[in-house]
Amino acid sequence: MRADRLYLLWGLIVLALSYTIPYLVLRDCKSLLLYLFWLILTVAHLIVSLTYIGRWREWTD
Amino acid sequence: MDRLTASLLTLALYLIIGTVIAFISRKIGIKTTADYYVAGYKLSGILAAISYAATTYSAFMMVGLVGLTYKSGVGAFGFEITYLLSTIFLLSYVAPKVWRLARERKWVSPAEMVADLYGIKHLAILVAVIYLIALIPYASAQLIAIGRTVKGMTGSDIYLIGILIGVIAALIWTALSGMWSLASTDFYQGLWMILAALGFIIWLFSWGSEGGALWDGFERLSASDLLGMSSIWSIGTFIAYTIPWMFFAVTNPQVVQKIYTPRDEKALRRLVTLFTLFGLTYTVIVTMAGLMGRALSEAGKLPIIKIGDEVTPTLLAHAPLPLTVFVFTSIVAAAMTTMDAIVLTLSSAISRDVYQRTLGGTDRKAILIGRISILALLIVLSLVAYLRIGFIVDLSVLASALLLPLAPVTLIGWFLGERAKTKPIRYAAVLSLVVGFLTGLAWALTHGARKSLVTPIAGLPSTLFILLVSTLIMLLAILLSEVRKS
Repeated sequence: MRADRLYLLWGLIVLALSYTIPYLVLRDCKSLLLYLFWLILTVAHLIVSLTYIGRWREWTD
Repeated sequence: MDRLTASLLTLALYLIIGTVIAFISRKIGIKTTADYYVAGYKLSGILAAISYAATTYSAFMMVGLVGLTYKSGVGAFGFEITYLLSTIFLLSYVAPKVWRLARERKWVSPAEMVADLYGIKHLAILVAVIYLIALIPYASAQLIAIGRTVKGMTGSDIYLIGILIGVIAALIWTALSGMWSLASTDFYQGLWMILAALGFIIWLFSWGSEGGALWDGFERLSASDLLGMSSIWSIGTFIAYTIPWMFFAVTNPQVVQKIYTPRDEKALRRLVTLFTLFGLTYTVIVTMAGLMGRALSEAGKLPIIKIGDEVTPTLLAHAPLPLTVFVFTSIVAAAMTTMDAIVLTLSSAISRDVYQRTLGGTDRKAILIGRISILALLIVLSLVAYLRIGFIVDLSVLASALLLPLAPVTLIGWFLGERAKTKPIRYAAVLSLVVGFLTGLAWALTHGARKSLVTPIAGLPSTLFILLVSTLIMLLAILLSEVRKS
């Protein structure tokens, strides 16, 4: 249950970052930093999500 | 070998292999509608994953998104990656629950899932009608893409032949043994799509780097606003475009149905893992192609391309012929996989939710009705694609927006369990769907389908407004139910 809540919180933070950082911080970016930001965010989200789904338990009950 | 011959040979090879695969998958016995529409809940993880990815990623990727990135810059990558971020999250969080419920309650079509969640038998018919209105234009757009791609790759005026190729292949690959032939051919086409994309980006990088044009172009790009959030991507536009796609995994029946199909927990986990890897790779390749194309235009190696959809064909005009026809065929495959899955899911809505629910026919008859409805749907799609009925074609961009009210209704239904069947919540589900869907449709009729997406309602991006209204109706009903209970 705790893992579920933590993952829910993580997911919401990732989505919030995906909308806010490009407009608040990287709006006028002159390099590929914005592209890299989204790419790194996705890779991080992928790693956390794959760890989370490796621990799916409820559904086998 | 000239371009026409190479194109026709590659298309023939693509069609023959796909048809052989579809016929091999026919060996698997089909007795029930569950066998036909969800492969008897027995798909392997790898088949389910690539089928999910191939269904999700349409011709828009290699044509539309390359062009959108070329014209609007890195913001287009953000638009597509926000979809992926949200889908990874939704699949990781809810897929096990949905997968388990689908087995327990014998769900075959997503419309019957919604009806079952709220305990309203005929809600499935309403949902099926919403699917038909929202998805027929989207599937027609895929058929148009097949016609145009065949025309473009051969360099001959054979748009109609392209449409006929698409319809006949879709009929065989889908109707033959439902989800089995669909997933098998999707797997093959998905591999074609990703290999072609990889070949395309490797060639583009190598060709663009000659003489340092690519690096010079990227230097020049930094002087423009294309590496940040360009003026095209105002916050309102970004929200309006991304909201429907964020909930795509929940609202679009052609992908919801795929969650039912993995044979066990391990296969479901593999679906999520492989799909996300496919999605990330494909998105990076496609958006990088758009950026590289723009950099090459800035460096003077390519002319400035004014129409977004012309970017990929312009780039491919410089590629070796085998790669050109390979990539063009991958665009046909991307459109085909999306169209096939929509046709199969709409057929399940017609045979299970309309026919069996109202007339109570046997599974055998329902499969027959399903096959007939696949043929009927393909005839309708080909008519729309051939005549290019303006408003219907335009509606294709709104498919996910029109399906948006299903997001709160489905998510709340999944999480409330039996509580969703209490009176105020059941009524709210119907009201939420009707109000949300009609708001989207009315906005499209008033402002035109394309413009309605970026025209605010009450100062909010239109899709956010639709989502909020549908969600509020559901939340108020939950509150009312709590008050009544206490």
